[in-house]
Amino acid sequence: MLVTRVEVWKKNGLFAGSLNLGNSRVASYQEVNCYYIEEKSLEDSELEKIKYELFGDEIIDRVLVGGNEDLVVNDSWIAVEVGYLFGVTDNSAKVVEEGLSLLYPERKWKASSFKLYLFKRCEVEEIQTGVFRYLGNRLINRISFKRCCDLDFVNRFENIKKISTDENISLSEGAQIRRVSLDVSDQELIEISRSRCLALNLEEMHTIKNFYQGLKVSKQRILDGLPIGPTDVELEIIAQTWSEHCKHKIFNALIDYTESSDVKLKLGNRKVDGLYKEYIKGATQKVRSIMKDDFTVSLFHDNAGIVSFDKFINIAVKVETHNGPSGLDPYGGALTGILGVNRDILGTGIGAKPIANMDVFCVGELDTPEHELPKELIHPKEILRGIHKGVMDGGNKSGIPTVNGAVNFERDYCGKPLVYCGTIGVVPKKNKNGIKGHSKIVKCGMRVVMVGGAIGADGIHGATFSSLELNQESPSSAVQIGDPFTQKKVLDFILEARDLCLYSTLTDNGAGGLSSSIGEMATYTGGAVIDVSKCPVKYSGLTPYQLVISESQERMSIAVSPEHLNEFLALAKSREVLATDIGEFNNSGYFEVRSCGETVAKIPLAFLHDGVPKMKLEASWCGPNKRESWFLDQSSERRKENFTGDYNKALLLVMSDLNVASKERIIRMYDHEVQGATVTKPFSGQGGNGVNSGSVIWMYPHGGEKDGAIAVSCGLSPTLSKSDPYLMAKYAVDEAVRNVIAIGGDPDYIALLDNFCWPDPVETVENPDGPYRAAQLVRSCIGLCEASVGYMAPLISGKDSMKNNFKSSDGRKISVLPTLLITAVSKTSTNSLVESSFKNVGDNIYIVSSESPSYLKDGILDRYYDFSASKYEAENFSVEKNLRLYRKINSAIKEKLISSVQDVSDGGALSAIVESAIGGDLGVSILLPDSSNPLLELFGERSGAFIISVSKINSGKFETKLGASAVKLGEVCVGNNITVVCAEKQLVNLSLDELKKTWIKEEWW
Amino acid sequence: MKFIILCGVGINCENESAQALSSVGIDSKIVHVNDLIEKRVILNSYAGLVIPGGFSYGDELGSGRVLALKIKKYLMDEINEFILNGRPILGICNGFQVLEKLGVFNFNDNDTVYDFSLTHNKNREFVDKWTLLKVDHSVKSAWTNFSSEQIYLPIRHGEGRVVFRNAECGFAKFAEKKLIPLYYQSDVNGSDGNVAAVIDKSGMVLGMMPHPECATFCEHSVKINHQIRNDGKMFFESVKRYLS
Repeated sequence: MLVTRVEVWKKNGLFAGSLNLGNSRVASYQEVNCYYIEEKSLEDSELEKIKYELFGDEIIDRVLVGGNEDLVVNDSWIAVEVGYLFGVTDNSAKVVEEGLSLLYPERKWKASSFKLYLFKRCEVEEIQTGVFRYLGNRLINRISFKRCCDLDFVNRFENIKKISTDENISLSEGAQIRRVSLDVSDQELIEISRSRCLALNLEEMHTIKNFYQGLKVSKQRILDGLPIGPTDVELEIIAQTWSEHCKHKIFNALIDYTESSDVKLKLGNRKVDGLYKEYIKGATQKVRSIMKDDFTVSLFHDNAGIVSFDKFINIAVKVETHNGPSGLDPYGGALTGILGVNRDILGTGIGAKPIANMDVFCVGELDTPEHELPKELIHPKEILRGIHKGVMDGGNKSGIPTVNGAVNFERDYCGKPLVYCGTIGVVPKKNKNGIKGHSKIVKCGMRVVMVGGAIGADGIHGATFSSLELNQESPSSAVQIGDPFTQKKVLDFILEARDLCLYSTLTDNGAGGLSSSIGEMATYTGGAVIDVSKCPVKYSGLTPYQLVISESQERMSIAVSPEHLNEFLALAKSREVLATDIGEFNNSGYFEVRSCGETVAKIPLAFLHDGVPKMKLEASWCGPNKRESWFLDQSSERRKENFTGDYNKALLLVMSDLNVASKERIIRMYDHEVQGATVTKPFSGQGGNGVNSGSVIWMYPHGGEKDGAIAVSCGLSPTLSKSDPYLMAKYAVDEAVRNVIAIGGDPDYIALLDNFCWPDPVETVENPDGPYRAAQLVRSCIGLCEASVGYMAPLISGKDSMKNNFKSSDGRKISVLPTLLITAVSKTSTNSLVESSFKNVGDNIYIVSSESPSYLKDGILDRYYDFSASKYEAENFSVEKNLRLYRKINSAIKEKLISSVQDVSDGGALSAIVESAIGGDLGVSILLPDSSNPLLELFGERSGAFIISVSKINSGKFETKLGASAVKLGEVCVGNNITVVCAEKQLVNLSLDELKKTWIKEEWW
Repeated sequence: MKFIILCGVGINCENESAQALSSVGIDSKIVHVNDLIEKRVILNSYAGLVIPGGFSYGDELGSGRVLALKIKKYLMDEINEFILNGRPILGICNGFQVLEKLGVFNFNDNDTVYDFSLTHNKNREFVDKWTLLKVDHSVKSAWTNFSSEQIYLPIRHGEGRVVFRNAECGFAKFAEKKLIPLYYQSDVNGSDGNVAAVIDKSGMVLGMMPHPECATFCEHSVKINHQIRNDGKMFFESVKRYLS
């Protein structure tokens, strides 16, 4: 085999520049895209041809394929090569192979891609740390350092060994069935679970052991010619299906909740038979029983919740988290996260079309001192850069607009970042044959067809891994890189096949791979059999259990009627999508897996899905624990001052705080307009700098009624978890609801999604905090339920991630703040759109509120000044009062009385006013009532409050409608100044330019 | 009058392109590139062609490159015939990149070939924002026969920087030959001469980085100086007038 090395250099001056490698000095560098290609008989003339036909552009690039070309490389430079470890998805290489096959279809090509970085005038030691941190991740990349004078580098175009692409790997394990003996001691059972990464506890291992030792089961297995104990395939399938990730054992657990008599907000001792049943499903049932028009269609059993939009279409919404993988490889983790939730939507009902993405990140503070960070962790700055790029590539390359999101910064997210990825989809009410869009019909005899990528060892144990704590031994095979291009082809193909009625229903291959997708679809008919030896593979040597649980990406499992099979497979071929018939749905009662015809697993569905023993948890609440810093040197912590009345300084601090600062630069890197339906965009105003509270998507282009639209937004307030997660949950719901109200959403049509990310609430020797975390969880669920019922907004879908702890090698524990993300989707119309930026000079500015209480403790200003006194603490609020106000505001928006609306959130009312002023590029003059407490009035954070501007003409009507809820604060004025006066004293006088400069903070992103 | 809108292999703006055409009364059919290659649909029985935006082949190896390779191999004769027959082609964003890689904008003058390339924006970042453009009406094209001289359109690209071979004289030559109908009013991506769009010498083929199809309906508009702008519609109205 001849291997050719191809280097694509940018011509002089185009991109050579400097690169910030963190603490190492800024190095002057060049970046070169490189490839290895392998083919038996590549002629020199052919090589010349493909240089500029495939690899480079004559105007921009210089493509090198040999060492004798006159390349100016100085001997003293350092050459760093960053490629992929084998088994890791290499998207460029796949396209190189496709491109070469286009040019020479008769030959077989193999390729791999890598990057070459050249650093001028430096030593390896200087850049090494930076390279490992910024250019490559040793979990997925191979990284080599060479000096340009090294023979290795000089001769790099010759003597190349065979490419280590996937096909060369032959995994050592053979493909025979292995029986796993569970007839062993408890200690050995635990060891089996640990060493196989099963994440099963002793009780669960016992349940499996007892099941297989049962007389009836063993008799049947003898008849079936299977070993008495479980096969490795069976054990792995059970572990995937029973994982916390798939079965939500904590949310189904029996919980004994107690609270001490002196706690601030008493909720009452109680025994909870499943938080999910009681407070999530329970809330929705209650809401459905009291709401006027029940718009819910399909809840709690499909991949996503479905609600009705109009007479033509339904809407499916799902939000997922991908925290663990994003902590190990931020780019790959987030990319697979967003592509995964896109597939969830695609796998909902008969197949929904993704029309919008939403993403929320919670990461450590960007100024976290390097020396305080445990050495095995990636710095939050790099985490943010990677996850942002992952979500960006995932959305942009799939043609799905990223319309909404948030970034939250807090020290304790250093241990594990939270990456929430959400998608909204549209599915027709009925297909051409009159089959309901939300239905999931699978009949006996239908074929099991796997569609999408081939299977490799990537992502094995993803589901069970996410059910474990992140530690230094976390498996790298759980890390994957998604392939948005392949998935886009799959997506287009499936929607085309759906509209041709070529299949019945489908689901995605996510956590647990085929074991979960087929195992679950099998319940529709009561059985399924697949032969994994038919699955297309990336390389040989994969054992049956690996094939069944691999989470190789971009795959869907589809139920196809035998009479449509040929047409379905032919369409797939023409759309360049892999589709393979791997089995059949039946009513045997078993999920059976074969390999080359031989049965390697046969598990009764009843045991697989309902056999998992119920977990029991203790939860005890005695008020919030004192938070302890994990910094080695406490003096690295930010010091808080006492507030001395400098309002200008306080405002500048709030505006510059990363949680408040504008993220425009990174948000504009997302395509938020593709599909041509984003009518209220993330930004508004004269210069496009004003931040809207959410986005509005026009549904007409998606098959809805002419002026139909949905408003989407989110809410989270994790810092309140430090005091009381009950309030945290209620405030999060309010923020999400209020955000959609602020962009014109209908308060009587709001659907909510709940996504919990929690530190481990299960008590063990290593996790003594269990009962406290469990109590926090119970309190947040009660808060969530109350708010959902109070706002009459059903919870239509949700997910939980319960192991967000990190333990460093030096013994430090970092747990995330208990965090509940609420996503809200509401209905609106293109006739009642409103944005956040001030519009006209002379408009009156009002604070409109339900007289809800304000707080400073745990707010933005609390990060700089000491507000620990109890008078500053957050308090409970009335959801019902808020809802009444939201209905009035909605009616004022519909009557077009309002010029702009902004919700009061992080940083309080004044930062909301400043943001609207920056958006409108207009000055503001505020006069606070003499009796007010300016500190709370300006910086207090609260539920149920908005900053609304109204033209002079409409002010009378507006004031009549809103009554005492609207308090005039001042007006929009010409010029460039923000002034606040209270009791004849000027508290704030700052120029818009200065505030804007502080707030936009380009250098951070 | 029916147009073909290309789809598949990572193209992703086909639906809004169809909606934009239909807003001016032009019917269209969204066709997978393989259906053209495998002759299930015949290009030359249609009145016009739109190659929409997207990320064909994931933008690997440079945006538009591999799709252009595919078209060159299987469809180039048909495309050339299409142009010869005076049928209009519009390439938007990724579609522009594909047309550029196909070389349809290149021309020969005094034995010198003049061409350009589209590459990564100067700051190497993808950007989505509405931007002000200047229309040069001395440039005659089926797609830009309207009167507005300043228009607002969204740009959404990471590889929209026009780089001419021999920067100075290349740009001057394209301008002199009246092949540049649109300029950015400010430097948005580092393009030579702030070039935002190029036409071929017949005036039937327009390649543009901004997205007119996403600025066709009033609902699409960002509000600039309180105005609703759906300037993108003018391109489609222009081609309709041309063909009527």
